Amino acid sequence: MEEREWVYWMLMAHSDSRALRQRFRDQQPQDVGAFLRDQPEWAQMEAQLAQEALTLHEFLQQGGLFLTLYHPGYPERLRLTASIPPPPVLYALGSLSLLDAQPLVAIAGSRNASRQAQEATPAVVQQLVAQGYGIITGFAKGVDQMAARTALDANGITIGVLPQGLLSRLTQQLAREWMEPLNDDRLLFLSELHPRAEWSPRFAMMRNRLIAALAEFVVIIESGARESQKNGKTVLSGTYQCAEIAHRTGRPVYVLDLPAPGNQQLLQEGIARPWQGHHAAAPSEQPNLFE
Amino acid sequence: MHADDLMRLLRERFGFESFREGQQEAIQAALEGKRGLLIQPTGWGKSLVYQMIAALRGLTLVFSPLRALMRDQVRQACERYALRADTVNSDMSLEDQQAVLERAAAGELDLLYIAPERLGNPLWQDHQQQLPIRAVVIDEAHCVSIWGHDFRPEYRRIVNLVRLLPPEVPVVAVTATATPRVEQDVREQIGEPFHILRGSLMRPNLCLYVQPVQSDAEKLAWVDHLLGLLPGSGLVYTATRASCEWLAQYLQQRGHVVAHYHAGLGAERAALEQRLIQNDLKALVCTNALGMGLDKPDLRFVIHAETPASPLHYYQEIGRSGRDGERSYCILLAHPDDKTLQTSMIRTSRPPPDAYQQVYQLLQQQPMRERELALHTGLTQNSLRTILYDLMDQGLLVRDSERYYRATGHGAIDHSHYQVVLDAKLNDLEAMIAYWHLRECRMRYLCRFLGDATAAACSRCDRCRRRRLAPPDPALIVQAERFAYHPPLILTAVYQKEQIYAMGFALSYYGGTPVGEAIHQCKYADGGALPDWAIQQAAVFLRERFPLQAIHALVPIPPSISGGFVEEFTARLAAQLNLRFLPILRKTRPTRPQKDWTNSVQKAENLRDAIECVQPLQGECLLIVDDVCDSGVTLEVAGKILKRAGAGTLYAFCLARTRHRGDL
Repeated sequence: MEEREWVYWMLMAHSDSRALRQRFRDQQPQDVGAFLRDQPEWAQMEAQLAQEALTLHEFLQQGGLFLTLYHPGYPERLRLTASIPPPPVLYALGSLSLLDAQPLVAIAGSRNASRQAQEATPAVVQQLVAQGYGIITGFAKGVDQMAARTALDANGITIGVLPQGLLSRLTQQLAREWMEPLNDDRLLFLSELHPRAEWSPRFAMMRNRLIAALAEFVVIIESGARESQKNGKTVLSGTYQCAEIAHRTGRPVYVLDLPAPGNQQLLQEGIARPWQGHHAAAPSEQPNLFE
Repeated sequence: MHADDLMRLLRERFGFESFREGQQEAIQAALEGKRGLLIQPTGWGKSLVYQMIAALRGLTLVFSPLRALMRDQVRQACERYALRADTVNSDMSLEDQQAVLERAAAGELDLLYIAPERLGNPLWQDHQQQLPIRAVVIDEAHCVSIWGHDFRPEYRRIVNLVRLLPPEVPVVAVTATATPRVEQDVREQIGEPFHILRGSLMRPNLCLYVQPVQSDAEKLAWVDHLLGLLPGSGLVYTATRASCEWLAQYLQQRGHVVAHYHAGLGAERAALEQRLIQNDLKALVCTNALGMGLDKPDLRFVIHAETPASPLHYYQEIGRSGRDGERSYCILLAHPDDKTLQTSMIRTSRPPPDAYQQVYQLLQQQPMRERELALHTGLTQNSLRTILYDLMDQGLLVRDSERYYRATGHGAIDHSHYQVVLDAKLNDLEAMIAYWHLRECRMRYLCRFLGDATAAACSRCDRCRRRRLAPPDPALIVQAERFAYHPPLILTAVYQKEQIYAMGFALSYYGGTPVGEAIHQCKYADGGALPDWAIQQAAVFLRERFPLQAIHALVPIPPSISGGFVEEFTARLAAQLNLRFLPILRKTRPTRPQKDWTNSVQKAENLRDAIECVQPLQGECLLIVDDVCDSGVTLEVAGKILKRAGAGTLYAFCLARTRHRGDL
């Protein structure tokens, strides 16, 4: 595809108009520019062409990769997961080959990992890497980054789906800290967000969809209770949500037998089964277009 | 857009009755989504094309390589056509930059001028998402081509941007000069559909002359002589900053109202251009930092004291003169050394391959900022930047918005096209040297070199008219010889936006001179104190060239390791001149000799906090004295410390200066 169409894709993907994205999914136009010019939202979008081009340009200058839904490198699992509408565009830092190099396992756990979780994470990850899996996480501090580090130390590969745009300062710091594995084609950062999007709790929840869709199964290391009260407010656990989304998407979810309230709740609710050291893949769990 | 509507806009907003040939076509093509390249001589009205696009489409982003150029364009757009134009650049305070970007975001600007490197700037990136940009212009488009006379690696960034812009955003590239090869390169980079308008390059009102000179003194004398003869005001081009300051000083001493102008000067450059425009100056003695966009239609002459790197450079530089159509003189002084100088500048313009490797390897280990890289590698700022931009261009490095560079993989550095470019540049230089000895019309030669095959003989140049310039009085050459014996010091550092030193000279060169030999004996062969004859010479020279009646005292540079050599001879010199001896600079810790370091960042680091001024000052005018000046960093650091302590005007004097940096 021509680079000159990329900006149309960006505009469509990040448009405020849900209806526009729905029309795009319904029509699946080949020429996105021509499609957009026929839409009622066009006048407003046209005014943003140059500024989006500038943003995309800066992203590419900083070594970023841009993928549209039609790009051959767009991950199949994401395109074909029926319950999740695939994001029209993806932004990446690192090597795209990691997306289909090995089957992926999602590891999730809290930021403030307990001592038990800190001990358990490396063991679980080493085991999975040895079994030939790549590790995919939300790359948050705590369990996520510990899992990523362990995977790399064990000569495995790892993918981080970030809850902020890839041009944000947070991502740039990560790219500097993790430069070596990025350059050695062992780490990939992925995001569906506008490159300049800043971190937000909503984005943190949103990325769980992508993690679930890309993974074959999920291992929850440690989760808070689904809901808890903090300073009089109801707080939802991100890890718990990740498990729920994966479960709804049809991905097997395992959980470590730790005393954490969420771990026990996941087992009781029937969302997750206990992690026994390996995943018994059932053929029916593979996505099948022709069913 | 209807032709009638364009005509109305032209008449009502811009005050012209008709378009020049090609202007309307260019505007139409851009509005239809074609990428255009306009190759038209200065004064043809390239800016009118994009000013009209801005008036029609809204905020137009103009990429421009030089601040001086942007300033002029902004002024012209605002004053002549009441367009709302502004610029953001690093000369401006953060508040001012922010204010401009906010106006642009609010839809209150038609034209915004920026340098390509601004795209990587954090403030720009914070605002960019709000800018309603509707068209993009690449001014001086030849800068995108490695075949161009002024290739700028940072311009490559814009090419990548243009490739992303959909046809709804008009893109116009403009240049006054592009050889056929540059044209092809721009076309390939900017992409189809592409529209080219190439105009005639003939400038019938320019009178071209070449005058051979055999020595520096003859060169000085000729410029002196010509400034006395030529009407109106103009430019005197030199090839380096050092010779720019040096020549300006001589001409001032000879009573000409001139000033020097180069990229080392800060904000005062705008004021200097204004003085020239208002005919307050006979001439600006300048490097090629001046020129592009200088808006003075009645510039009457351009003298080249040194030969430029190619016929393209030359055509561009003389092209500033006579834009009003009146007769103007373009005189090139041809010194045999000019070719050597340009050849070495071309050869050293690209750092050696192992420097590339060193930078790349460092950045594969750890992300770094430019300053850290300079400290680690010892490369000069220019070399380092060239390497960084080249490696970014090859996709091996990236710079993030926090100005860290990091490697993006392990790809190999490609050096292959550099040799090709180097050869091309040397060929261009040959073509320039051939201009010295031409038998045919000079103007036609330049036009043909630039791809205009239609040019006929001009009938005004020294070849067409078979005439020579009247030579200067031999007395002028004798005058100049005395001046040319003493080298100037190249001190360009600034303190609070002003140059630290008002003036600096060495008594003599270091290599191959009696003074240099004497210093070497004293310092390295343990030969004791400086001989009396050298002190005598220094005193005579200082009386002649420095405003001693204004100078309060002589201040020696404190030694690094070796003993009190500088203090000793400075004291003797002060006594000889009946001036105070004021050893107020002191080392707070031992430092290594500056010659052990290779770049100015390392040299400055070596001296950081190592010198202090032991006495507060109250605006005293001081003469700072050192033995040998190479990079000038020591003098600059010392000058800064004295300024901070409250010193007034500072002058610098050294016994000797190296001929080229690093010749110690």
